[in-house]
Amino acid sequence: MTPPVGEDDRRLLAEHVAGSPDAFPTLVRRYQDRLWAVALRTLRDPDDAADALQDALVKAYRAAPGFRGESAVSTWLHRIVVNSCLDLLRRRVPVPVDPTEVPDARVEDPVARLDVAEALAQLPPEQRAAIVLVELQGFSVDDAAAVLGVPNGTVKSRCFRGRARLAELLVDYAPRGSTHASRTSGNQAGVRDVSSEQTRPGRDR
Amino acid sequence: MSGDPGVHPTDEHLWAGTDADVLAHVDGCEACRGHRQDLDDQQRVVTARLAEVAGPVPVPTELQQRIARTLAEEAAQRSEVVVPLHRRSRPLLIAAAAAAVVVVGVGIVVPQLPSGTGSADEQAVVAAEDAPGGDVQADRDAPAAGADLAEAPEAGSSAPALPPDLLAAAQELSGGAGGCGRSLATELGATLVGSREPAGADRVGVLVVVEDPGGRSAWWLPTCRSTATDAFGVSALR
Repeated sequence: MTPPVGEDDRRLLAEHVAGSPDAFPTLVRRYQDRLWAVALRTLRDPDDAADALQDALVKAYRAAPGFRGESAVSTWLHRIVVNSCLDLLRRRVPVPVDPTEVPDARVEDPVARLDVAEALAQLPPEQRAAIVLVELQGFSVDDAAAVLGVPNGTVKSRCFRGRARLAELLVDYAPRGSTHASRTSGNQAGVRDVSSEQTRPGRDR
Repeated sequence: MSGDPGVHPTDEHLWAGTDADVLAHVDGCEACRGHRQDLDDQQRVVTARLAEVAGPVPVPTELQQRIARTLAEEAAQRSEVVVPLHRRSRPLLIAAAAAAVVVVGVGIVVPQLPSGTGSADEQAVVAAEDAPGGDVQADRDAPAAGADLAEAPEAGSSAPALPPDLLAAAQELSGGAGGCGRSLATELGATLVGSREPAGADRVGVLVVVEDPGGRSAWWLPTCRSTATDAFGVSALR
């Protein structure tokens, strides 16, 4: 009978620690696509993502004897990859975004929309990592919290703030024929008001 | 975008924890309902847009190869530093063979030497320790493999002794971890005394203690269902 994946992961890691040369590469092959997706979507740049993934896997290889078994092996691997990506992002010299170059689809061209990857790249690293794990990789909030090493509420907050920012960047927002005053006075302003309301500290519990 | 009028995407994000009186106000206020509808629409769009890029992303072949090379280099470096457990018996055998050769040689020579130069065993040990080759040195770095192999309850087991932290934990172990280790106990015809998963604070695998008429023994196994042949380590308990 095939053991459950989680148990098999632990067995592979234990075999790696014990000196089996094939165990860790097997583990890597099992998760590499998911880990690559996280790195690529967090960093956007394929070269950076490749460096981060490779760096993370080497760290995991070396750190395996210290794995305490308090989480799933897959969660542990994701955590190392995410940390590697965040380290890289924090080391980068931030490129200031010129707001005039960000197409505002709601006003200028309802068809033109920011690429999702571009929009994600504009989120702060911690928000981006939370969005990538929860919204793109399908992690539960609990699992994402374990990967990011933060409380569940922090993951929810980061996702909420990230989504609010993405809404500003992604939504080709067409005003509905509403009688609401803020819409008749210009939807862009209305949306911005609400967005700033959303991101006000204390609202995103 | 309409959606189910009774379900608001913002419920989970925006309104969780909001006071009931605020919610009541929103429900009764046309302006707030309008804002809420706008936000619901936005969230649906964001969800849809994110779904465009969700899903698996295959690792490029060249990156796979690069990672494989890197891990192979790591493995090569590791093998220079740490002798894997399953290979540690080899230098032990080499050292034992060298010692045996020396014992035979010394056995021939010693009767011709004056007394007081030490026993043949002592000389054999010295000779074995002086024997050239890194294997003997590598074996010295192994955690007392030879001594504990002699103590191991299974004469046929090639697993090394438990490291001190697991041995200490095993002395205290009784019960726990459900039926973890039952396969081993059945295999050995022993009684399962207890088990622990993970094996230790900084250890993978499981720690299992079994007892038979010969006494208790502690086993470090990869999983709860592993058998004696899979063991990373084993030691008799006193």
